[in-house]
Amino acid sequence: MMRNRGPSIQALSVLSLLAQSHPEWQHGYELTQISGVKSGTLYPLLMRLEQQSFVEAAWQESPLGRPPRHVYRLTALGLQMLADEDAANSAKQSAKAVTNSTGKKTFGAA
Amino acid sequence: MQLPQKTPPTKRTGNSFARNSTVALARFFARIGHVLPREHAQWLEAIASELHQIVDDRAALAFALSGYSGVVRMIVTAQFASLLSQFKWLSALAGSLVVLMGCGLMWRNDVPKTVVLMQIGALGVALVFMVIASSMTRSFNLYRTRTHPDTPEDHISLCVLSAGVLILYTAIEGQAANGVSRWLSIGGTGISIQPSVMLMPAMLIAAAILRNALATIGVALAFLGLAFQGDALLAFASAMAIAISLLAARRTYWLTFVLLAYALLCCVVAVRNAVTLSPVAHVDQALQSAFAWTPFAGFAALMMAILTILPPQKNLARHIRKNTAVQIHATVWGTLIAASALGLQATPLPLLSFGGSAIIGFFLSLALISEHQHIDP
Repeated sequence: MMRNRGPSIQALSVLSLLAQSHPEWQHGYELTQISGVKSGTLYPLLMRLEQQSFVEAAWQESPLGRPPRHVYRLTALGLQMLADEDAANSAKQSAKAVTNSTGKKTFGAA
Repeated sequence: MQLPQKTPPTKRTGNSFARNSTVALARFFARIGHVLPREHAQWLEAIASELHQIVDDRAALAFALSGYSGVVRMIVTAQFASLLSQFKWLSALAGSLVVLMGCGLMWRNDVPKTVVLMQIGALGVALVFMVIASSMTRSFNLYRTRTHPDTPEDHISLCVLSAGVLILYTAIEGQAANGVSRWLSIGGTGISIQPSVMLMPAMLIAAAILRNALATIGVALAFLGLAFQGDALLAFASAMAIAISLLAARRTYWLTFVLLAYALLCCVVAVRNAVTLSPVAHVDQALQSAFAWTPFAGFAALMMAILTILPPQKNLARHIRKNTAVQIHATVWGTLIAASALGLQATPLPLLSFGGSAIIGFFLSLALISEHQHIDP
C-alpha cells in the first residue's frame, strides 16, 4: 500500500511563504532567499506542487527590458491543503501535550 | 517570516568566470528546452529568467547549477516513469533482447545458421502478430471499452474456440516426434509450429476476460489436446494460471471452478502420457549453455527472462493483484521459465531457446495484457 506522506519541511516553508503573500505572485529567486531552500530543491518542489494544482505559475513582464519572469502563487486548493495541514499539526500537538501531561499513552477505548 | 521589499537589481558584482559560466549554462539549457515538451521546458526558462535578477555572479552561478540540476533530475524521473508505464513496449524490448541473446548463444555453439535466422525471423513475425493482436483486441472489444460499445464479443470467443479445436486437432493429426503429436507442418516450407504454446496463454487470458461458455469450451478442448500430447508442463502452467486468477478474483466464478477441476484432470492424463524427449542443446539446455559460457551470461539471460513477465512498472503490484490478464500472463510464462531454470529435463526456456512458437505465443499474450482498459471487477 502506498503511504500518503504529508508535505516536507521545505514544502511547508515554501507553501507558508506563498500563503503569506497570497494573492500576490512570488518569484523563484526571492523564495530561495527568504525560505533558505536551495533552487535545486525549490524548482522540483514547485513543479510537483503545480502538477498537483496546489500552486499556479505564470509569466510576468519585467521592467527595464529584462525577460519575463516566472511567478508563483497558491491556488484555492493549495490554501485549503495548507489549512488542513495546520489543523492536523495542531491536533497532533494537542495529543502530544495530553500524553506528556498524563505520562502514559492510551490505546483505543479505556 | 517577513517578505522583503522587492527592489530592482542595480549593479552586478562578482567575477567574469562565474558570469561566463552562468551565461553558457543558460544557453545550453535553453537549447535543451527546445526539444522538451512545453510543461518541462518552461521550468528551464524560469531559472534562466531569474539569473538576470541576481547581482552577484557567484550567487547566480550557484543558483543556476543547483536549479538546473534539480529540474533536470525531475524531468528525467518523469520521463523514466512514463517509459516504465509502457508495459507492452518494455516487455517487448526485454523479450526481443532475450531472443537475440539466445541467437548469440546458438551462433557461438555452432548451431546451423539457418536455425539462427529462423529464430530471428520468428521474432519479426511475433512483433507483427503483437501489433495485429493489439488491434484485434481493441476492435473486437475484448475489454468491453466504451469506444466500441456495439462490437460483439463473440468474435474473440470464436477465435478461442477455433484455437482450442486446432490444438486438439494437432494432438490427433499433427506431426509426431518421440511418440507425441505437438506440431503442425507448414506445407512444403520445412517449418513446424507448436500451436499449443503459441495460442494457449492468449486463449487463457481471453477466456478469463470473457468468462462465457464458448471461450470456456475452447480452453477445455485445448486442455484435452495438451493431455493427449503429454505436455504436462504447459498443462500444469495453464492450470496454475486459472487457479491464481480464481484466487485473486473478488467474485466466485463457478464456470471457471469447473474448468480448473477439468484442467487438473487433464494434467494428470498429460503426466501419464508424458514422454521423455531427448534433450537438444539449443532447445532444452539454452540456459545451462549460457551459464556454461559465463555465469554472467546465464544470470543476465535469467534476469531478462524474468523482466519479460514482470517489468519494473509503476504500480506493478497493484496490476498483478487486480488484473486477471496480467496474473495469467505472469503465471504461465513464469512457470515455464522457472521449470527451465530449475533444470527440469527437456524444458526449453521460452524466448532464449530455439522455438518460434514460444516467441509468437509470448508476444500474442503480451498484446492482450497490454490492451487492458479496466481492472478486474
